[in-house]
Amino acid sequence: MSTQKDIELNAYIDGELTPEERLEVLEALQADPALAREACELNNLKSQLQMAYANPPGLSRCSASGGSRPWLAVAASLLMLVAGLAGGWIMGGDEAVKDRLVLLDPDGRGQAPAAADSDETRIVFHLTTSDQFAAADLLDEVEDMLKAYKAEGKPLRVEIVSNGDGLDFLRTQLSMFKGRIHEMAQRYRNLTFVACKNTIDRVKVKRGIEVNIVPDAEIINSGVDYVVKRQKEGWIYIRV
Amino acid sequence: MSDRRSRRSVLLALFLLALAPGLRAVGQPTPVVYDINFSEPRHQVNALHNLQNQLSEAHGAVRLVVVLHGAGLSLLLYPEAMDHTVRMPRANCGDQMAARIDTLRDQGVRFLVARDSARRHHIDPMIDLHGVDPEDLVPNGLAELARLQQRGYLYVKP
Repeated sequence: MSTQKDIELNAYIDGELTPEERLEVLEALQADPALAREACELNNLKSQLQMAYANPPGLSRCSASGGSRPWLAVAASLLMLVAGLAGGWIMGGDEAVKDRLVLLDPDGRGQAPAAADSDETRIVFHLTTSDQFAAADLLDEVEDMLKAYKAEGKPLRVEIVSNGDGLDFLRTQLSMFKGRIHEMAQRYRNLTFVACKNTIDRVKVKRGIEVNIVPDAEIINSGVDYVVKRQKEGWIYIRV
Repeated sequence: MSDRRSRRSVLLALFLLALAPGLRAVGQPTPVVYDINFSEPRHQVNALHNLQNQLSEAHGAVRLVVVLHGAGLSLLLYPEAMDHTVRMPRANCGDQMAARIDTLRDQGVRFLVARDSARRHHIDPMIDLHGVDPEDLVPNGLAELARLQQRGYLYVKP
């Protein structure tokens, strides 16, 4: 791999390329699995570096995600954990947090919750699989939860972020749940469906087709970046 | 592929968890919640290995809770109960799986079962699932995962 390509790849990861150059790199990534893998690893490294700093230097509008999905999943889980542990470490000296840990009961079930009930519970679900069983279960369980919280008058916000194979769930041509998604989006104002633009772009380039997303979904740049950001903001993360 | 991926993620997770005790007050076991909503038997067995490895590694410095919801209930579902369930892909709790579960329970691992999921799949947790007590039932699996994380549990998706 040439140095020129190296530079381009880095510029691509950092979102510094023009749309034309970006498309060129995307095509190169598609043609060369080794290059795609490298792009992915570069991107992972970048994300991890960002996690290491509270405020990442510079603006990272939209980070790239090359071909190899398993690495994305690994990067995601890794970042989740780093975020969690870093959070624990940062708050380690805080007496309130120590108290909170002491509150945990011996059998793992709990008496009074440490987080006050008046606080809004915010959960981001990360859907990365095209498994229909998993998607059906997810909708059922989320609806049960929305109902239960509503019945108890507890505030709740839920987002379902789809990327990679999980994007099928929100694709007009492929989703088996369009009706259900629309119905739930209408009924529950505190439920949001979110689609990853990186995945949309990748599918477009790879298969040369138009990708349509159900109108009930919002589109964000990067699904992985988004769920990491949500966790930084204190959202609970659950992978589907 | 998905197996390899999950194994890798879990290895990384366990590596990071190994660092966790140093970051917390000494003597305070690290609470960890495992999320099982999948039914593929090898995937489930791998998850049980992860639990055992973490227990062995932590020497009691960890408290493990597993939340079973959706298709994950298949982990404790007796094969003979499969007939009367609805939309349940598998029933994995044969003798061997039951023995694995018992070994983990003996070491203090708790298996919590989502009541909503049981109802939806026409499963009677007290009869169809292996060794479940009333106090192992939680109303909703996702809400329980959220609640435990809010209370300081680290989240692992095997």
